[in-house]
Amino acid sequence: MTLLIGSITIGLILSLLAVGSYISFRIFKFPDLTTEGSITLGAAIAASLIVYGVHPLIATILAFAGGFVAGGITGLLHTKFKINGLLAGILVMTALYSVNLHVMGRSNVPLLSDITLITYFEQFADFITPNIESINILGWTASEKDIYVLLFILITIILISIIIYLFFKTNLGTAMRATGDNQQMIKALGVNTNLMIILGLAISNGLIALSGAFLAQYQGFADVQMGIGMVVWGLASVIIGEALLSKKSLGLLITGAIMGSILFRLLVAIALRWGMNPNDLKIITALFVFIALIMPGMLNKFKRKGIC
Amino acid sequence: MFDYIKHLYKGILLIVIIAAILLFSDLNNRNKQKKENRFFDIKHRSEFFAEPGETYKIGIVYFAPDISLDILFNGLFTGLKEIGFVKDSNLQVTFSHANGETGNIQPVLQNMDNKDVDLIMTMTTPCLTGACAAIKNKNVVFTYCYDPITAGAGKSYSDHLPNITGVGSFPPIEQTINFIEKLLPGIKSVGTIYNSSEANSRKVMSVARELFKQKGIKLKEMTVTNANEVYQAAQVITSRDIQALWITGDNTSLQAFDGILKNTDRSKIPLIVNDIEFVEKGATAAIGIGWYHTGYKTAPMVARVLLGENTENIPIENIVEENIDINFDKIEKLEIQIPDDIFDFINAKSEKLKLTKKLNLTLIQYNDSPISEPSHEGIIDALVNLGLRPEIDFELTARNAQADISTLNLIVDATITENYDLVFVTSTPTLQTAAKKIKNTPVVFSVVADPIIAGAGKSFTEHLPNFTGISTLGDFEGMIKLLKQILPDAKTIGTLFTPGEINSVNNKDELEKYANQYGLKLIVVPVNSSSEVTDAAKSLISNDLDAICQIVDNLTSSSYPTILKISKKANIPFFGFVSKQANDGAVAVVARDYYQAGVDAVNLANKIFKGENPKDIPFEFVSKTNIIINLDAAKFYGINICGDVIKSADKILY
Repeated sequence: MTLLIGSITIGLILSLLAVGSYISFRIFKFPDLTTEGSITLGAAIAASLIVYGVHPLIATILAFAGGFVAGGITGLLHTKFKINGLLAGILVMTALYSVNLHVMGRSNVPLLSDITLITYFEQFADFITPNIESINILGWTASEKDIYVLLFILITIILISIIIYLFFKTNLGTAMRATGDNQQMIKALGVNTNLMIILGLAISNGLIALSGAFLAQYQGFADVQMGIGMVVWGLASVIIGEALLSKKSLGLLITGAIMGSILFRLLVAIALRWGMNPNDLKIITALFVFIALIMPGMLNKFKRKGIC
Repeated sequence: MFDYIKHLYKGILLIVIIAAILLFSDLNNRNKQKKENRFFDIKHRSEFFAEPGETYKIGIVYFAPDISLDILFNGLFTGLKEIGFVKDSNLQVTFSHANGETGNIQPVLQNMDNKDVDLIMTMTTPCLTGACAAIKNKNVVFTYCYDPITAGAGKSYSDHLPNITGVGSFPPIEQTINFIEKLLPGIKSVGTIYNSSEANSRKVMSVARELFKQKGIKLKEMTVTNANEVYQAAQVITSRDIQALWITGDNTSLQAFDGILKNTDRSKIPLIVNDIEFVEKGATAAIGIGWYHTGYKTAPMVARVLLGENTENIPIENIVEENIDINFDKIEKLEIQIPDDIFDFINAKSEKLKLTKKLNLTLIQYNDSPISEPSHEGIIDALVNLGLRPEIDFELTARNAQADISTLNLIVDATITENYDLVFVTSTPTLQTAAKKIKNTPVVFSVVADPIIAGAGKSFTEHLPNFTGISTLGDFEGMIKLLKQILPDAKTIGTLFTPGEINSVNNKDELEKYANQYGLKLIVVPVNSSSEVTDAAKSLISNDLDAICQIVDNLTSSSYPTILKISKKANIPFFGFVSKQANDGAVAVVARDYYQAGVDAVNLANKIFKGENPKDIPFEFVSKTNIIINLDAAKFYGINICGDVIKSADKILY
């Protein structure tokens, strides 16, 4: 039960990373590698500020701002200096490594004894039901605090998703989506596409940094190497999410990315739970993504042949 | 809305199915105690638990400070904390003692009776006896007392004074006598010193007299009335014809323990006591009560009374955890042969583990590195050396996050779900993730340079309650000293370091500290990936270096051959902290042994297996540092290594 709750919580936290990847990768068709730097940046900013004594909510919001700036720079490099998107992302990601070290002042900031948003959630749990330590659901015991943390993260993610959804429904948001779909057309309509790309990447990386900020508070520390492999997690979640949808629309795709993130975590959790060889972990991860990638195509093929 | 959900059904369905699979993999962890058909059930913290927002006041009265009592306090407050009574937070404790004089007991007790406390705790028999007479209005819970009935607390364990209850711990007298007989075969007479006005001692002696008589051993008794008389009594009794002196838990004699010890040491008579804690102070052997355990078990009784239960209805309990300890130093000096069966008994009691079930252990590592592998081996070998058989006595599940932080989180969650008896973790991020999540299972870490910076505690002794482990901070002082011995004229040394690894930064700072202390200048060059190592090393040697002294981190410990090659070309001697660097041409290596880090972690784990609380086990540095000298390499660099250095080395390579 702890593993189930834990993997859904992590899945939800990293779903912000998935939504961020969805914005850059799918809406703007921009292969953004800034991710690995910006998720760490978010964690670094949040952790350092919390240790410094800033209220965790403000620290989390500033983490978003940090990622926003980082993404904006990637966009700027790509649009103003005509640097290939992949390269622009790599440049910023590389630079962020040093930035993150400066933000934290060292390579690892522990938060174990500091008040974080997660601590607030746990305190809230004590406040509502002070005498309950664990809850027994159908025979599985679950820690009451874990459940509250999960619920709060869920509410937070739903709120953020609604804000993103509403934003992309505004005129500005529509113009941004159109920039990804057809640059020529939207340019003809008098929209500054460069600005749209910069803004889009900024929002994308802001969300990714936010994800990092939550992750640091949840796991109790920020580490300069925590971004390693995160691009894959983000893209994999987006792809798995898409494979699950029978119809593509903005709202569905955002929800799909979140579901993809949770599903991906659950699959990894099962792989862990079934005790496979630890050395095979990465290859199994790759296998999941591969299956998610070919699944929709295979299903269509079968459909055409009338098998199902 | 419905339409919206319709398009998501595949995803929702899959999530539910996979969650269900995950839950069913956990089927055997389901709570099997609840047999009745309840599908939803809320567990409250404990039967007795402090009311939130309430403050409790207790007064503690005892005879005089002593070390056993400190250990009992430790157990008591740990036990109380676990059920919500936190000392100095919602539990106010007033201490007061009689300064070791029987006459002071009454006034101290009366004073406490007039104070605003909810409950009075007495420790030691004289204080309990005093309380039986002096305290009428307040509830009393006693502990640290051999025989509460003789002390006057009641007629029997269930029929006692209405306002008094507590925990008695009658010492294992018969076992003591058997023990003395085994340790000193053919013994004719045993001496003892006690205060005849202490009820507990009188009771013990009346039982002991009979038992000694049955064995045909003479018991020579000396009685005293206060601590000042003890020294003289000891002088007298040791000059009589006794082969051993036995001191039971007599408060007065133990007060003057050092005086007794002086006399037994002088006349070479073994001193046997009933309080384990006195072995450290110099007693030859002890067979007695584990007071931590007694204190811990007293806590629920204190809680019950504080929460309003009537003391009259709580029966007195007798709690004794038998314990043996031997001072091998003294045994050797006294030329006592320890018979095999006592050896076996001590071993059974303390050294070897008595397993009631298979130990289910796990090891979590963050990435694969030349450091993580030997520590893993060390853990396995050390477990086997404890006499545990793999797959039969223990099972060690090893997991590795392959440098992915989110997988690390899931691994820790999986660990919690699987109910291990103990968790080993290596590396700093793993320690931190575990520290955040694992609250109930003991965790032993290793290969963490600085657990304090990692956040595992405030100091090596004051740390997270379920955590303990091994710090592998390098022996920088040893290294600098060695370097100065080998190269007396050295002025400047250099190292590469990885700013992205917290261990690397700490190591660099420590090395710098000691280098400066010994008048050396340290030049550092940062490196961030293995592809940069060549350039960084070249830039390092372009400074006018006398030696390279490469610190340990994950990056350079796998790419050190590059640095070594460059140092050879430039003819700058290489000093390292990883043992295998010596084989590859380092002049000298001062290695914290990572294999040993695994072994040491198991030694700490062994204490936990034996029932010690991880909270009371301080963090330790890895116990072994190897100095390895490579004479061949020294010749290559044209260095003459003097005999002293070679003598101090653990291993010499030619």
